[in-house]
Amino acid sequence: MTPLLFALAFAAEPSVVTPSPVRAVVSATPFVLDVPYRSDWRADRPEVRAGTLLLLDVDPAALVVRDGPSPVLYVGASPAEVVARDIPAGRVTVVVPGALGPDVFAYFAAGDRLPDRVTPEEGARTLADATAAGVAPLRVPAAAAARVVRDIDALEALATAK
Amino acid sequence: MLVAFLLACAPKKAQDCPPPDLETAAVDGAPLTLETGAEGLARTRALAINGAGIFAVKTTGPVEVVDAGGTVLQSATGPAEVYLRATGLGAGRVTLGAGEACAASVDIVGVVPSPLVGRPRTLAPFWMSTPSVWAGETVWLGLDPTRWPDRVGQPFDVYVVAHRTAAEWADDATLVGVGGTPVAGTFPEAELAPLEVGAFDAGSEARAQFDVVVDADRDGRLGPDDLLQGVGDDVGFTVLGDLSARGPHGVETVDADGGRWLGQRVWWPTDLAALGPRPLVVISHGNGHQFIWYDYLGEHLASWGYVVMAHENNTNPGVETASTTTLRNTDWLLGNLDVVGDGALGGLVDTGRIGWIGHSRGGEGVVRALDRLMDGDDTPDTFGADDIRFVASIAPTVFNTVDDSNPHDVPYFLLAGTADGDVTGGVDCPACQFFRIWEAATGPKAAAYVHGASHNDFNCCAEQEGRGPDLIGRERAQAIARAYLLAAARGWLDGDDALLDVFRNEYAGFTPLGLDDADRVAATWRNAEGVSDVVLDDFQSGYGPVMSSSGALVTCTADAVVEDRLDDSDAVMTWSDADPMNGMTRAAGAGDLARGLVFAWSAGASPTWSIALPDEATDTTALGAVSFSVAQRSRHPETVARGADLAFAVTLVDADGTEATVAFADQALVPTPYLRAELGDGAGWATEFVTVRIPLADFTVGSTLDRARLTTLRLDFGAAVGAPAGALALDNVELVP
Repeated sequence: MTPLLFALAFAAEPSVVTPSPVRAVVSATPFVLDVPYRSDWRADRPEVRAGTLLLLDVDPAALVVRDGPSPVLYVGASPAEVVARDIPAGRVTVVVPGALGPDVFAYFAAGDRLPDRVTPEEGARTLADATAAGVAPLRVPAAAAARVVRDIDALEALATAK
Repeated sequence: MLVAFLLACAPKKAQDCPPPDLETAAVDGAPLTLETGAEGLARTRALAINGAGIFAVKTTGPVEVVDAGGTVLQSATGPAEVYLRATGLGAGRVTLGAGEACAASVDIVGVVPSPLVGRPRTLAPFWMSTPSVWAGETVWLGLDPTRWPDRVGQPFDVYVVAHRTAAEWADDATLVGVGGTPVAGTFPEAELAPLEVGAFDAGSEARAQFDVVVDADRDGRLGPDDLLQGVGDDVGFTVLGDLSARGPHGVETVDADGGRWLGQRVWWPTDLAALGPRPLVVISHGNGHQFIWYDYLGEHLASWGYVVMAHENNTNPGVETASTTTLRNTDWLLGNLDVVGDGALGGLVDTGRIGWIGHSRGGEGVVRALDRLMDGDDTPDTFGADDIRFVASIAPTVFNTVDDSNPHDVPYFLLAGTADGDVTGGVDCPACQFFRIWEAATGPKAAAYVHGASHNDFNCCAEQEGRGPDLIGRERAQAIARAYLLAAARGWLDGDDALLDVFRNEYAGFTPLGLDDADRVAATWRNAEGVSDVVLDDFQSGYGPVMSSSGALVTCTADAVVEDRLDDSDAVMTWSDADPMNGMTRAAGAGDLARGLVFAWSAGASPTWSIALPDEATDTTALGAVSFSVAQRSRHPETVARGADLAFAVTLVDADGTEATVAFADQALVPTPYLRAELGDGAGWATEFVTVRIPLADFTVGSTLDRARLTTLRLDFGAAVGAPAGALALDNVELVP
């Protein structure tokens, strides 16, 4: 384990990782689903009908998959639904439900809470912590027209293809 | 040797009422010992009535007179042979004859049945009784003259026979020794003299059951006066084989896909159709792992006759989603048995016997899935909570509280490695402290903490992350996993209780056959709460140094005695007197209740921990063992100075002041902590409790200790009993069946 992860993984309470390991938004691909699904990556399991696939440039050390506590990637006030990752390249693709503005907060927060237990209220607090900690919003590149895909399987295939 | 007892009478009219001439097998002058728990004529003693007449039968004390059919006699017609059986413990007398003047009597004493099989030891009492041995291990017979003074000097033949039920014994009492001819011996006169009776094979099922008969009258049949280990339907002793080796069945496997998060690999024995419906074992992988990484376990369990399924596990979002995939995959397979493997499983899976095994987040996921079933939060189509017969977690996370990830009263097994570099088990990471789940379980539960095993030793292919000295690697770790998980499956899915001795027989050094001598495993066991154990002190109430949780008074003369939550308070491993629970990882958050005791002693001291037995615990004749969990305290200065395994002694005291001690310095049972150097100065890791269970019968070897009237249980420490100095943690002091 890298010193970065070692230090972060053992934080008892959620805390925003600074400086943020998320370096940039590489691309944004809007999508619309024929068959919506419920995301497991938040406690309230929101229904996803449309959104954006974001390809992020991230410090590879922050992408190492572990079983124990490790920093959770957030986009905005919610844990990010990771659908593809290329650790050596430092690339991770996430699903951001709904509309997306020109800028986005993408950051990691360490703690003992996994995404499926994070409530919207906790997510909002974590986002507030991130802004207070000086995490800067990242510019979202201009996106093409929304892709229409059938379902979550097709969306994951699209993410992997990217 | 037959000796007549004629205790009667100067008859008023001898020619009118001659007293009966009574003969038993007791040596001259000794009361006839009668073991309690007679079944049929087993554990009875013969009484020959020589001479004609009708004699009234009178008994005093715990004895009755029966005929060959078991009918209790009020009178007996001689000449005849009748039988005496104990109805309890202690002295008694059988008198035959018409009135005092013309009567003859036999004195008896009812005694607790004594185990016959065990192992010689080098320390007092030089004997350890045991219900299980390993295949190929020499089996010893131990006859203690203190227990049978009426048999001293008498010859016998000993037979080890294939186990028979009570009905089978009644049908055929002929003794047929497994090893061929019987072994001849003589009841020792001075002290227990172990007699080698052979070594035995465990058979193709790695478990063979035997009875042991000491044929006192050497007639080649089980009858009165003989000694039997295996009375009634009880098994005399069990021989266990190599549980890490592949089983007797061929294995077939197929990958199945039921849709999103329903990818599965399934294994089953090739002769499943002949076996009939067999239990299902489900394997749930961890985060970043794959379901195709557990062939070593799936093939192993299938080779022993189980249907096994490993499934895709949605662990990335968390434990809740992992538990959902365990539930849905189990449900899907059970609902598609006619499809998977071209229908090879159709009608051949016992849906009422399911075991769940999970690794890492999957290890917590299976516990969470059970909790959801128990709470009614999830209702599968094909099975329910009652169908989950055991849950096992390999290095599980503990992201939830233990109220949410709770094994409840379902049998639970925890397997983990001390060198885990992911779910570390460390004091700084509550979500990694897997013993918290174990502590929350209220059913029968076992744990095996394996020195030098890493997190990913338990799958085939994830990147190795082990941290610490003497890493054992995948081959060894997986052999250990195969053995223990098979024992759990056999014990809890098939009711093969003897297999669970690999967990609860630590006192006998009973690590599974197939493990290397270098393999070190700290094993713990606890029976289901509130069922049968007499809990003397589990430290969960009655806080303080003088009061036990049972309300009995406790005295501890060691240094720095502290009773508290088993929780390292400063989250670093560097020793500090301010954190006496250093290295404890069994209570960290809401719902964690585990408490225990710690203490230490220095060179020159001989401290004790003793408890005055509560009234309900003074009669131990129906109980089997003293049990407690004990550990060396990580990085405590005395632990560091010792740098080796540790031993002490256990003493029982009866109401007459008689003391009997079992010392186990020749066992060195309390392991030195794994010397992992992280989180501060020094080396040592999460506290490794082991459960020590000492058979109560061992305390009476060579002793007149009265197990029916005990007053005190005492633990003795110091140079004389194994360790001049040390630092220990103690928990769950109990008397168990």
